[in-house]
Amino acid sequence: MAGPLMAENEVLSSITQEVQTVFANAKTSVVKIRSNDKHGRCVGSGFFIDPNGTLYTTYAVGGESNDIVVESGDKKFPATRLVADQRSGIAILKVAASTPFIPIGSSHALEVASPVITVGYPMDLPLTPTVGFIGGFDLKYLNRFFTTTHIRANLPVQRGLSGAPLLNTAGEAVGILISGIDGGSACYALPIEAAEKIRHDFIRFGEVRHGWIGITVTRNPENSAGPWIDTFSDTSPATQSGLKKGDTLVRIGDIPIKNPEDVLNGSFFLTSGEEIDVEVLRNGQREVFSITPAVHPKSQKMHTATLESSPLLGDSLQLGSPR
Amino acid sequence: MDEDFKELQTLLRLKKYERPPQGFEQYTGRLLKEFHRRQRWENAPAPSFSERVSTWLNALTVPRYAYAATIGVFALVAVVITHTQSPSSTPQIASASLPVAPTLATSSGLALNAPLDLSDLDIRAQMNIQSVPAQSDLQPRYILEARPASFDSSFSF
Repeated sequence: MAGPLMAENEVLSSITQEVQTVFANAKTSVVKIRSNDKHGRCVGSGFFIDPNGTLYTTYAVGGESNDIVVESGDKKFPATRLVADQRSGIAILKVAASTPFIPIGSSHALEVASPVITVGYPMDLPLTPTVGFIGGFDLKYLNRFFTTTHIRANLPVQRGLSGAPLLNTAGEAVGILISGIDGGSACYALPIEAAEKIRHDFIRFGEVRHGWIGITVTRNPENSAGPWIDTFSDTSPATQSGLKKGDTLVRIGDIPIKNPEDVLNGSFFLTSGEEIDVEVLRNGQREVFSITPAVHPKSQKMHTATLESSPLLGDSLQLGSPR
Repeated sequence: MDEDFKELQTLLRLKKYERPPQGFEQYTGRLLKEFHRRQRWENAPAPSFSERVSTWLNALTVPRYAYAATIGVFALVAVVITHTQSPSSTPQIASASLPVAPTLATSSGLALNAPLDLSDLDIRAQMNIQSVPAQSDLQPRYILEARPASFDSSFSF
């Protein structure tokens, strides 16, 4: 009887030690963000991702607000906004300082039940670690689809944690905490790869470049190999690509497509002007077509539209049907 | 025994021809009517206030809509008075008065019913009055969205 108890204590002790280590390493890199928006003062969290003062937070915290101040310990820095991307739900800010930072990890290494930790500023409380487990990887919630797969973590969250990092047990950032679920009993985090896509666009082009091919797919009624290409939007890159209606979609870039929902991920990682391979199944043969996505017709509005008015969320994310 | 019987017979004969005084029948008639009236009054339920008012109004010659209009005017005046005395500005006044209270207490000739002259107050107290923040400024919004950006998909890219 003493054996299992001792083993349990050892496990708990080990978890505690791991969490304490992650917290100790991350706490200097996680910041509180204060700003003003049209509704008044708002407070959220964020975290540095490089030594030059670049930090991730959410669009809700830093996407449209002004007078942004980043608080790191006792220090306060005015911040400038580099990127506000409504589609991913993140904002990238920068402060003029050398900063500690959290290394970028990989969300692909996570599995259901993997332990994760978030560190942030709930309400007006001090920096707080919270531990939980991966609950799943979802493309939709309550019949509404996300722009890309989100990490569902079963860890309790409070207001003020928007923009906090989701960390693996190695202390690497694997996601950005975007929203709570069901009153804060769990949360959704944007995978860090999606945030990095946005940041790399900004580094390379000075702006976020959402790509657009102009294809609508439908579920394949004959087999489960993948969805059918259904329609092409007029004047879209797809019309000149060689793809045909009825082709079975197999892959967009590196992302395998097994059902219609998978095109959401394929779509999210498109970059306008950057050629990508689209693999299809036609008459039992695999064929690959290279396509250069265009700038999404609503891309400019994505940067300027307000989150609440949200023509973007219900409209421009229907990437194949520009109006 | 026979004498008693004869005496009784004599009395009966006398009673046979006895007549009530003049007006007795009218008196009993009025008594009966009065009895019935009181009986009805006791059995009937008491009229409500509105029935009494209505009956009273019916008895007057002024049109009914005039009374309805009068009641409406009274109601309007009551609402206006209630709103003008609403305590919406009371907390600000109360919180503003806190820092200036010591200064007021030390100023000598300030009668309670005299007009308040703020020029006597020191500048710090006056600044406190002006810088009382609105309630919305005191509490920031701590951000956490209800769900990620989402939409009704058409599975396009």
